[in-house]
Amino acid sequence: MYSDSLLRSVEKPGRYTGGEFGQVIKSKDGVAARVAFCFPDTYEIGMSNLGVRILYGVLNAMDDVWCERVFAPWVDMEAEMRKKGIRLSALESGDELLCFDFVAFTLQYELSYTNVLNMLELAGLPLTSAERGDLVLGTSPIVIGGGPCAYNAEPVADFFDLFLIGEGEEALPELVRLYINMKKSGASKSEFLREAAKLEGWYVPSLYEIEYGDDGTIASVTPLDGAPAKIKKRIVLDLDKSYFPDMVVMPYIETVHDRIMLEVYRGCIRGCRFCQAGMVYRPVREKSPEVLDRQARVLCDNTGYSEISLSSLSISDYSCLRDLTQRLLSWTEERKINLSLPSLRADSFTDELMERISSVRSSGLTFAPEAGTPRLRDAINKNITEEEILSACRTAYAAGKTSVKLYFMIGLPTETYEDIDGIAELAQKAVDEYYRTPERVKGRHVNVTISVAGFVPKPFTPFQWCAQDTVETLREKQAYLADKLKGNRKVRYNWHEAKVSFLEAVFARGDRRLSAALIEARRRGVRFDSWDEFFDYDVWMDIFKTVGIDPSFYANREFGKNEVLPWDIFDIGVTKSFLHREYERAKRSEPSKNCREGCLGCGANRLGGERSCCPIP
Amino acid sequence: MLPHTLRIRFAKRGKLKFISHLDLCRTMQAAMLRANLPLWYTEGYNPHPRITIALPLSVGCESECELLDVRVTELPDFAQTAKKLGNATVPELEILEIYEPIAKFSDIGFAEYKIYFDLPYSDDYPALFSGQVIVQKRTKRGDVDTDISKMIKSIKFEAESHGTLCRAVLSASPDSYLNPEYIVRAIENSRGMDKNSFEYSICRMNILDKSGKTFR
Repeated sequence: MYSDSLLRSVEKPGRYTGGEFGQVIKSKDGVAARVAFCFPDTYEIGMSNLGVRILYGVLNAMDDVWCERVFAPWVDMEAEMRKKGIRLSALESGDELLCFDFVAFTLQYELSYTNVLNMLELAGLPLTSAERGDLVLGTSPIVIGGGPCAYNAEPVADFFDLFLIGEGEEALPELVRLYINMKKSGASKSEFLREAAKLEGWYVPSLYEIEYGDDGTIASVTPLDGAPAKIKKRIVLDLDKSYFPDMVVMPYIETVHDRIMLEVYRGCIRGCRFCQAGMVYRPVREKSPEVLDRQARVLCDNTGYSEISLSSLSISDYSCLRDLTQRLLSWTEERKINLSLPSLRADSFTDELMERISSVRSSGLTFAPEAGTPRLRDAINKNITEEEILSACRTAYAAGKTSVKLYFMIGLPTETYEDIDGIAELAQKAVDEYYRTPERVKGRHVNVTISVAGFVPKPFTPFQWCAQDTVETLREKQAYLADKLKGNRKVRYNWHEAKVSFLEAVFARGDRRLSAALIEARRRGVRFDSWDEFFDYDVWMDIFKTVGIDPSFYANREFGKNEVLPWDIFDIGVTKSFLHREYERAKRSEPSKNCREGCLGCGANRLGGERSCCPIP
Repeated sequence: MLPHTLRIRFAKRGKLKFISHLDLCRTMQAAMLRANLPLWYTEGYNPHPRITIALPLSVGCESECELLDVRVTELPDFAQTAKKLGNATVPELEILEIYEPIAKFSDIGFAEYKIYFDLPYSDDYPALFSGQVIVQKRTKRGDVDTDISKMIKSIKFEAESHGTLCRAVLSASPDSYLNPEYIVRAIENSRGMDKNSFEYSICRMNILDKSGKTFR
């Protein structure tokens, strides 16, 4: 438990107090397993994560399990903790992580890896699974990981005992149940891990021996002790029947998303070729509007939140959106509850939709053309026309908006300078559209913000083989675009730091050898890489030099078609041959159909799933 | 329809002391929505409830008498509402009473505090507060040495098992509000100590009107 004087000496002590309405308190003697659910970033970010909310609820719904929350202490708190020798503890009980059965990390982005190591160290735990030893269950926590980065967690494989590949609503309780049974019989960690490897979706990295060839690529992966050669992703088949938390822990301090997140469906019908989420969350599984409406009402009653955000990868692709919004608006308006629809596609943004989301209040409007020319949009399979983008802007302007935000990526495969010209031209056309819209707000200027991120090749995407542009090339392209937009006072240009995108690519496509770099980074006190004020490229380059790793091997190299990829041992449903077919089409700038227009045979339908548009295999 | 005003008296104890004034307002608003209070909303583009908490308490202080005014469309049963609201908050935010107010927050004159600090009792404490009491007060022009003696209505000290208990009545009117933290600063100064050199706790015990009677 953190003392008053410690909390008085840090900014935002509300990050560390716990004790919120909705938190779960159990008797530690009355439970058979305790889980410390760790989010390797600040309280404000972690508390806004829907996955954390769901899994906290799932585990605490088990009578003999108590799940608590842990977040990364901010740097001022960390400094005080290190100075005073105070260990990281969980918010609910205030107990140190050492006395838990599981320390579970959710891995949301690669740049949080250094925070994972920092938190393990602050907890007083040895960093690697091997150093933590093969003890009897219950003496030292089992460290597990999951979330989107688990689809290639090889760079952090040495630090974890187990990873979950896929969705946790069912898989996590199964693992904890196995643990409780084996703990009773006095089993050791290695005995438990061998059994856990037999559960569907669980990956035990220590049970795989990796050999590398002379060219540095993976030569072979050998499963040991009967571990499966392929680990199949776990999914929840029927989202209507799956666990859904009817309560949210209500933060005292302001968090990133202080609202109800209503998950409408999982997966995506689109298949944008750069997008990992669009592939790894397949097959598409929708919830029915009746169930969503009921869950939204219960959550509003129980939380007192005044905003519901309909969350999914592309909300306008939900087949029952009209039905759902009508049901929700029938009671939310009267209760002054704001409905927000993020992730709108420009081609679906119609007057009717605009009217509905603004019927209470609407937040700013953002569309993502991703690329500047129709040619490149075809190559990345974004499937959106210039007319659709401009028409979406027109609708927004006519409804009284004076600013729109457009998201783009730079450095996409097959990109030329013509495509970058296209970004500037599209931004200008969005400005012109304003003055051509007769219903616009008169006497005010328009503001078009373009936000340009660097392309990062991600595992399990058609672009997983692609080389990322070097930092120099990305910077040249950014400067070129800045020059194009110079003097344009109606277009605001934001770009992501190319060096950050580079480090992301290194860890996104990295293998186990990178653990040496992470250990060296911890030794040097590196953490919070995803925060501009702490990201230090030069330190990272020096770390790679010290441990003898060439980071461009992972980021800037085109991976071979027949190369063994670090993530090949996972079966996510979508097949490698499908991804490669899509990559070939991209090279020819050929778009593909979306799942509703026709099945491309990606392979995800083999996993099953209710209310999906997939053909039955 | 003209809104009514409800006054909610509640305690803010334990970990809740680290919750800022603005966060407390949001927390209470969510709790009132959970408890289904007939909240009145402002008119206009961005309708929101009207909630005011008297005398924003600084982060780190507890209270036995926070006062919150909220506008409602109709007057509910006070006792029942207090119970419902109590169930919709954590135990550290105990709902003590709900009533329809007569006096305005601007009629508040003083607040009474219990300040416990982890230093042995000494006879010179009262003397420290008998003449001028100079502390560094944070103002727009930076930290300024200020005499706070005129804002201390009364102050008493007594020995406690390990430390010292101070009872102080301090100015809390709209034009003159003394943050109780300054009493701790004055004690630190007198001992030549830095901030956070010893553990202390502050709890607001009562809010008084300008004549020194309990404010309601």
